[in-house]
Amino acid sequence: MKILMIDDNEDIATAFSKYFIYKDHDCSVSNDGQNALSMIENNSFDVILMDLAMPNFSGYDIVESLYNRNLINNKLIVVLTASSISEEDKNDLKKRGVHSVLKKPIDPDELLDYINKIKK
Amino acid sequence: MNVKKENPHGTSQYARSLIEASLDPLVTISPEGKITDVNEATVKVTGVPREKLIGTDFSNYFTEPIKAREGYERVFKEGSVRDYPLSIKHSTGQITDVLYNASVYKDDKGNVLGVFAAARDIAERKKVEKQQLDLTDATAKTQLERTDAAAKTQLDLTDATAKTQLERTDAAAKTQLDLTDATAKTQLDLTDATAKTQLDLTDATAKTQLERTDAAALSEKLKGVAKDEFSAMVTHELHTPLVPILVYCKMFKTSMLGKMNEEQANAIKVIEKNAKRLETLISDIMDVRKLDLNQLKFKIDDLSLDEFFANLDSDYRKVLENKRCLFTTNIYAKNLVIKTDNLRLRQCFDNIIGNAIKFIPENKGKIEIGCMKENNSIVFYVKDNGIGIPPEKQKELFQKFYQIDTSERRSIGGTGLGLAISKGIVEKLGGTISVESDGKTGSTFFIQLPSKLIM
Repeated sequence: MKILMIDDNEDIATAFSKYFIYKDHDCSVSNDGQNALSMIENNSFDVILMDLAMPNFSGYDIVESLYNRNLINNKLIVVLTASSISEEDKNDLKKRGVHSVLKKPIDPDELLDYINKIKK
Repeated sequence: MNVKKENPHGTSQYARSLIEASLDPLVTISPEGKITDVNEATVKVTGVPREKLIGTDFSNYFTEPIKAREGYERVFKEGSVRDYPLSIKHSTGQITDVLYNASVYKDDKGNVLGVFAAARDIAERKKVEKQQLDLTDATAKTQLERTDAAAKTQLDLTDATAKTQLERTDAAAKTQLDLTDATAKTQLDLTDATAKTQLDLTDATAKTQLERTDAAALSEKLKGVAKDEFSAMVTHELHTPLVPILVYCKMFKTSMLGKMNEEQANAIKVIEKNAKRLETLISDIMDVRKLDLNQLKFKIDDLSLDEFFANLDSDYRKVLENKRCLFTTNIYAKNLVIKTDNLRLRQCFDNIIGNAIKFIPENKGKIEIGCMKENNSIVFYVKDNGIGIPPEKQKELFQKFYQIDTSERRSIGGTGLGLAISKGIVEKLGGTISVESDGKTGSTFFIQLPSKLIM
């Protein structure tokens, strides 16, 4: 499976990507929202795992940019956040095409199981 | 003639000084959603310097960026919005709840140049409503002050904060004079809508200035802000370092990073166990805090009890059978749907079952969960054959950080918050929680939810 892991915290992004690669997945990493957006535009990923709170260009910005240009519908985006997010924000993200919002920390195996379940 | 190019902020010198005179955060936004101009109050409330704000996305500075975006999009669509609630995020994390009033402004050809948006502090506004009488008098007084300049006000304002505000009042007064002089000249620049908003704002500014002399109220407000900031910080900043710790623990455990000897493997297990405990502790502390501040949010929905228990059964069956514990689920009230918060009720069960698992005897434990209908209320229960809870300890059991402190029990661990949180949740859901135990042969926890919740 081709995964894009977006997190401004390099330790988090690296840890997950190592795990995924060990489990024979193809995992790309981006630590910056703007850079992540161009990676999303220029590649096709089976799943995009995305942090929300990032400086300069946040996860919200990525979603908004894709949504506004009608580029979000064919993408599977799962938000991973360490914050407690309000129901309202969660619904806003889902309305714009985010599949689901999960909390960090999360067990990488549970995350992979979950992705396999939602990926048709 | 390119209006935008000649006047990149779309604001005249007059508008600029008017913007600056306001103590409320004011911004102008381009049709692309970028900030084109701000006043000092915006700099203060966001903690970001003016030159860094200009050119960036307006929505960046709110706790709910998408909602902020929807707000200004609506202004462009409908011409204006009133009392649009948003929360401004300071660079340090401080949050200010505000109501936005905004309208589009146009060039002389009627082309929309952007949005003019003014934020009003909700805490301030609530006070305005409360002191309506005072304010009617005070507004008249302010009119005087505006022409009568600063001397009179000086008496009322003693501390440094107040002094700054005085300067503001001066500036406002000056602008007010400029306004009369320049009305004809600036009329060209301003559409009716903008002018109206600006009048509202000048009024609002005057009102706010009066209120802000009340230093006590201000510090009270700051305390509230600090609380929110703390909660948000704890959740995000304390959870974040645990993420890579737990992933690397997992990698060590599954030998991804090489085979380990027994001692190393045990060390990793201890690290992981404690990192997980810290994770639970952070979540629990946040829940306790939210309960204390009355900020814990509930999402009341239809809940099928059959489904609720089917989920519990499937989630716990394997774990408990591995521990050779006899696990039974008895739904005495079948086909019932109640109105409650599924996840919060589940959280209570997880806490109680989690405790039961800690105290049942090895290889011969018994845990039974279920529910029944009783006098038009629903009674949920979790029964175990653990070491029991002495009657004299049962009341304290639901207090924060309470753990019955025999060394045996201490060693089992836990945050000591689970039952306090469960009690808080159940009470918010309108129910009661209780325990029955003779202190020797197990205990039974009951959660009773009232009849009005039953469909």
